[in-house]
Amino acid sequence: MSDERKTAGPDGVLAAEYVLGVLPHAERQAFAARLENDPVLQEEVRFWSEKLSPLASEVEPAEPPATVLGSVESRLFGSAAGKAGWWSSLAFWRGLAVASLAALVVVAVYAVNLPGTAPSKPAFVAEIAGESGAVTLIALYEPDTGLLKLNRTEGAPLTGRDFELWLIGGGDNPISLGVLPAANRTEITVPETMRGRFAGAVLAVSDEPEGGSPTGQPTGAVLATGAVAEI
Amino acid sequence: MGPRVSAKMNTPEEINELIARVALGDRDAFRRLYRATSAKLFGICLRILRDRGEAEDALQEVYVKIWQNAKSYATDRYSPMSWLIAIARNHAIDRIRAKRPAAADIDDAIDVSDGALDPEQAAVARSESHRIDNCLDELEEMRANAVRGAYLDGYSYLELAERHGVPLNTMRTWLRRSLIKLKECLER
Repeated sequence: MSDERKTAGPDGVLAAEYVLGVLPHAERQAFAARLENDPVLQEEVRFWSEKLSPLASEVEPAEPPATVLGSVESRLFGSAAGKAGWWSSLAFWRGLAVASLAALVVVAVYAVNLPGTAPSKPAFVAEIAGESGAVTLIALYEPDTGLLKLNRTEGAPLTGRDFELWLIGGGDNPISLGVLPAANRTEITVPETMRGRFAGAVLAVSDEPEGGSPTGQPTGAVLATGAVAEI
Repeated sequence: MGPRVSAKMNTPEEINELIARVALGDRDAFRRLYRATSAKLFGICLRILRDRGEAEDALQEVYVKIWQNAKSYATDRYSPMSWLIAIARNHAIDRIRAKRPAAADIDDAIDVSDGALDPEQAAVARSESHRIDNCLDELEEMRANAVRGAYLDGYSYLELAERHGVPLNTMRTWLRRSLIKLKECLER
């Protein structure tokens, strides 16, 4: 066809075939390799991509699963985002909850020792669990930020009841760290006055009326406890 | 999660600015770009790959590429959505061609096009598609359909030939001629 050479040229048509996507795999790869360093081909491909893209308005948008963005970010941004990825993964923490506290310490050390954030103070971890395992939480306290991060891997309060978290140091009475929110994963800002009390302490979760203990001390059953380990 | 398909669309200028920020390594902009565009690109991957798991994997790769290639966006001189759509389609098609190089299992195609556009979307679609639609109208209907099928559903020459009941070489000749005509029309 004479008009083929005149108007588009074989490469012009090939570029259109490439953009459409009709080429067999090997031919497609060969074209893509040429495209890398060929500005004329790149321009042809741009032309077709621009001109055909309005056709995509016929495609119905579809909401992707919420996990995709997290996966992309952890792949692109490495351990910092990766930490957020597994920190928020319930499956990960459930798996860990049945492992030993030693394993927990290893993981927590990794979580705290992020690149560029050399820890200046030791951090603390605890696995807060009941005897039956019906209520289990993983806790990580970062003294640098005063944040106590919690992942509840098992158990939820009954309707009209709340879980309340307590810090018990030495022979002192339990001090409330507050009612746990409904979300499995949460962060509590520890009050200044309590930040020095984690070493050697125990964390506990009790069953309380909605809104928390009316007395300032645990009133319901203590469902889970865990010794705080320094890392 | 509420309805967002018909939520206020970001303008091309906004998408353009987000990509430019992503090129500078702005992670927040990347997240916003994802929120603004992922449903569209996921729809594209889903339609071509016809498998949810595959489309999810593809979407991940697509956004990794968007982050990595954002620096060349300015010099590529694409309009923002065309650039994003090209990355998504290229990856989805690479994936399906690599997976089934000679595949022709056309019958398992899912019709994902039955969800009707709302009037506003349809109006936008009409005005944007005006030119390509007019040019496709100048082709024989069957050939125009082959172009649409390739673009939207990722059909290979082999699949198009089977769908249209013609030999592979005939299909390729038809489509190449159609593309030359299309280009003449689009350049007018």
